Amino acid sequence: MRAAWRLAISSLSQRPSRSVLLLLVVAMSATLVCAVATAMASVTQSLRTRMVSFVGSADLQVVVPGASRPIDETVRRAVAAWPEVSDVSGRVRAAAALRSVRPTWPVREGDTSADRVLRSFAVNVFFESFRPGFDDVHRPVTLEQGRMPTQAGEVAIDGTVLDRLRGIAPRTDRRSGTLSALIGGTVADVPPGSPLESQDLGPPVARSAEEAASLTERFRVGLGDTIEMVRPGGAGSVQLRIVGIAPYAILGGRPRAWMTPEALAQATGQEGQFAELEIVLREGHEPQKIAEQRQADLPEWTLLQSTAKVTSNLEQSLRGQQLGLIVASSLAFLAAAFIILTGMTTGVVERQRELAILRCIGASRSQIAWSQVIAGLIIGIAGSSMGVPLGIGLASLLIWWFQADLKVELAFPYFGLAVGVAGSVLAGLIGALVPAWNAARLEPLKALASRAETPRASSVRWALVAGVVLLSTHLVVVTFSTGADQIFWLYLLLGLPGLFFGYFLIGVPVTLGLLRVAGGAIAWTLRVPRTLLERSVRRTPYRHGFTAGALMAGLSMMVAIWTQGKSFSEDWISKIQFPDAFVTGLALSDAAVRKLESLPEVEHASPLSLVRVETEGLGVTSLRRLKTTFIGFDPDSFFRLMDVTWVQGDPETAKRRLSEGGAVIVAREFLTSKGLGVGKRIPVTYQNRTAEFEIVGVVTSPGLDIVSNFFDLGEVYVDQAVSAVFGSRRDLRERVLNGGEPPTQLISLSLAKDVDDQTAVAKVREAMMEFGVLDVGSGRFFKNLLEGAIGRSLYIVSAIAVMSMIVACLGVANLIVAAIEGRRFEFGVLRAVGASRGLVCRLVLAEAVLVALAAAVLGTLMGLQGSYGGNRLNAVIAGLELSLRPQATPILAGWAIVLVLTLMAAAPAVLALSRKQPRELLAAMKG
Amino acid sequence: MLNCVDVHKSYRIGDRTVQALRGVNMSIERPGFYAIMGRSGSGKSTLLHLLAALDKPDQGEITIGGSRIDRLSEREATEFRRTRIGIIFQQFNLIPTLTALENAELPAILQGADAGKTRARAGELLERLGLGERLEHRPDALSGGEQQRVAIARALHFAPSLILADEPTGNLDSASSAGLWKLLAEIAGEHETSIVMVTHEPAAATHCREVFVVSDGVIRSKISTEGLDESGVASRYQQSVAAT
Repeated sequence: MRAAWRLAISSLSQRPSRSVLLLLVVAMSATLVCAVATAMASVTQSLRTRMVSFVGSADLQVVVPGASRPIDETVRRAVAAWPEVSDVSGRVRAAAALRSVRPTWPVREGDTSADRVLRSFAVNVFFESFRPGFDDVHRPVTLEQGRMPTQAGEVAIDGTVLDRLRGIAPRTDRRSGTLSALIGGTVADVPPGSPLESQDLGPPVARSAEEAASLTERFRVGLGDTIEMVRPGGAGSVQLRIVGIAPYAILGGRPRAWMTPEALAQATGQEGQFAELEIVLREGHEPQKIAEQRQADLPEWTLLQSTAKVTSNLEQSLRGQQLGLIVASSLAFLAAAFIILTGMTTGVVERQRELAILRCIGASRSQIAWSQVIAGLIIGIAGSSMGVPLGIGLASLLIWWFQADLKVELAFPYFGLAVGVAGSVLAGLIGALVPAWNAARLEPLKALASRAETPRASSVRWALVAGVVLLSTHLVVVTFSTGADQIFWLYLLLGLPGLFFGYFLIGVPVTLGLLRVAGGAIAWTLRVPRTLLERSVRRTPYRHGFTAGALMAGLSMMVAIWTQGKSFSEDWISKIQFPDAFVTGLALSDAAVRKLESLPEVEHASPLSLVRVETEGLGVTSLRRLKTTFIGFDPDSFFRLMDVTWVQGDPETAKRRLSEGGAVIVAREFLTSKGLGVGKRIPVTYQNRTAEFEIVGVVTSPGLDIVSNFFDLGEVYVDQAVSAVFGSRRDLRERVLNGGEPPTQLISLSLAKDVDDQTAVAKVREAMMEFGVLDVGSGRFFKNLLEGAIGRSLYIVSAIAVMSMIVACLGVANLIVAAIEGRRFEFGVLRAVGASRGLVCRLVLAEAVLVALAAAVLGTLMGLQGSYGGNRLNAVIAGLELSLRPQATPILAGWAIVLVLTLMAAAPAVLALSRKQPRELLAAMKG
Repeated sequence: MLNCVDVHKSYRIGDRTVQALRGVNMSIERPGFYAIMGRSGSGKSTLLHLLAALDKPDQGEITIGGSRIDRLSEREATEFRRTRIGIIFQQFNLIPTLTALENAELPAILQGADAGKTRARAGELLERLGLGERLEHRPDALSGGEQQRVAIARALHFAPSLILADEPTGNLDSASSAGLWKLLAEIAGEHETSIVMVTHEPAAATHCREVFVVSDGVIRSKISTEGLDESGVASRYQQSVAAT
């Protein structure tokens, strides 16, 4: 083995620039994979943290499905009396507004001084109880300042609440797009003499803008200040002192506040009532077993479940993400392996005579082969040692850059890092296998006597046939698979690899085909003899073809993402008819609905209840069972309000059937994915109880489920829901919730004509102050937010795609350098017989242009075929009907990027060639 | 020590078969410096390749040092080339990234021998070949003649009984070439080694004990160079070739 090591190191050090290029290929692939893994792990860890704060870490929970009624104190005492229970705590929740009145000194344009203005800042907040001694352990809250409340009259708030109470408006620049952009506050001037005034108001006038800013800063609300809670139901207000300030909610999220259970219950009229109970068991008791045993001892409208079962949904979802990471990493490292394969195979060909002499003087085949394998391993290990820390660094930078919006903490992805290291090493190893095989098979005499043989035409034909077969596999899988699970797993195991390897293999015949079709034009444009260009490409078609294949991957990603992004935007989002405006809360009252309808800005309000149920199961059930949102409404008001498009059925018949009961309307996704349309029956399961409904209509989505999911971000991972079915509230109560009254969590509003939606939203927010709402928003703003989020995703993925192209360009650089090195004598002869420096350089560039052109064609075709596959997956799995919408601008931009990067990669080697004298080139004669 | 009996070898080039050797009989019984001469295409290089166990004859026997090398397996042939013979080529003899010393010890590295001992042996050989000051130089810092001397040191590492040289002076000037032939003759004498050199230059042949003239795939004659100068050898060679 010592000999093999020496030969490996000799092989790498013989061509240092090319060895470095191959190392960089692996390093950049590892950087990409580790950056994505680190970002995903950080988001995942933040989601887990959020999960713990939402679900808690107690052993069991008692909840009320559908939140149809509270749990009272008698149930809590009964549970506390169980011998296996160590402790039980009741959780109180409420929605209410917090308000503070502060002096401000707003400076008007053109003025130098500023008069004092008293302003009221208010925000709708989600309140949770915090029981000292219990929640410190089972549902801890990280604080930036102060402590958690321990008695009545105290409150802890988070960063978003603090911002709104200080009048800091939500960010609406392009970097925002999380929930914080929607969580507005209410700001109003308070006339002097209001009983809300605080004792110290500061000077009546600020003499300068600087003094005004300084005074406003000094008097803004902070730790220790007193604010007021506007009690729901018009029950007045409660003074609360801020004792603690928590960071912003991770990944955006509702603004939160905490009070002691007794104080919160009293303030919101929920004395002796709880939203849920949390139970800690004594040692030696298994939660799931206890849950099964004790369910019968609780009222039938409650559900006893282990928290592990609740969090398992998140873990399932996260496992799906890990699967995605493995697939994406595999493709990235396979591309790197192909580049290494091409580079090292080129090296073997160039060193043929040297390897032949080694064989002549007694090197065995295995020593030669092992030297290649060891060289590949060195490249892989060195590449990973560079790429992995770079990837972590890059992700850290991105997380820091987007910290203001995402509030995500850096987490190290041990699994992702292992994938990065293993992938790098395997890329080097796999890339070295073919060169090792070739080197070992070298016959010394043949190698001494001649150069490499031109590949036979039959081998290129086989590459074409194999490539077409693989591409056809992809098309067959996506076109003819039925069922979400079938299409998902077949796509993952056959379709996606078939697509990738298929285009790689047809890269060789495509390159040769383009040489025939466009070789003349390229030669003419660059003013080089066509014959020379053709001969040099035909001599090494695999080298050129595989390099084009490596280059195409990034472009295909870009083409696919923009094509699909446009499809999502045009065929899905733009077709969603969001309500004009909406109000969300935990349990909105009829009084709130009446108040809304009394506003001149509001034409109509429709109260809705939302429950997550199981139906026919959109999504890949073997990975994760997705739920559906059952939206319960009053048929009369709903049809007046909602402007949906009827795909099947008609409003009059549907309204009648819904009022009769036993009927639902389904979103279009059910028809597309499952063929469920008018007349078919659909089972709806909630908490192990199933009810069947007849489908009386199929409509395009009014986006209510999206609104609901968006505002539940984080919690949605506990109970992820896709699409919606619509039924009457009576059916929801009687057939789904088994008699439990469904609370109103969403009120959909239609606004009066010619009313500005943002003005209306502000008015609604103010009017709803006393009704315990959580969020108020406009449909148009929400839709813009969604489209903005998709747009941002497109740019992020495009950045990843460009990085892939840069990685592949390192392979192009390697190809160009190898091509020049291997043909130095030939170039020397050309120069000797009168070819100019420029001609020789343009000849090399012409090859690079051909490779770029082949990559552009392959990448575009692969991207479009990949988009078609993606559309079919979306149709079968999620029921989304998307059409293929290729975008000319991103495609052309991608072509330009590929061409520019390729020429840039070739430039250094070409420049070096242009500086060499003919004598120098001729001295490289190999005989 | 070297014996070829009725050796035949043919190759396929495209769709035709070329009979390179048509019944070669050759025998070397004592150490010395020998030449194989012949025109281009006469089969001399093919014969050398067979003697080096780089290829196998279609027919006939080749015995070197008592071993039938025409019957060796792939692994045995590799081992044979590594330890029992030395080979010197016309060009691209040396590994460009290894120093003169490392190139000279390469067969021992391939054998997996102890690093200290191999280095000492290689250093000693290079010193004796006048390269004591050039041990750490890479091939691109050595002249053609110096590179060939490194190749000779490599070939002598395991003190083989046979060294095969394929036009070793093909890339050297006449002065260097003369120096190299003289060196090879000295080595053959000092180390009791048989050195068989393929050449087309009569000047080279004058340094050899005997010249085997190859023509049309057979050994036509064996010329003893004792008492002959360059023109004498050339004349005898021409006569030999003309007689075929």
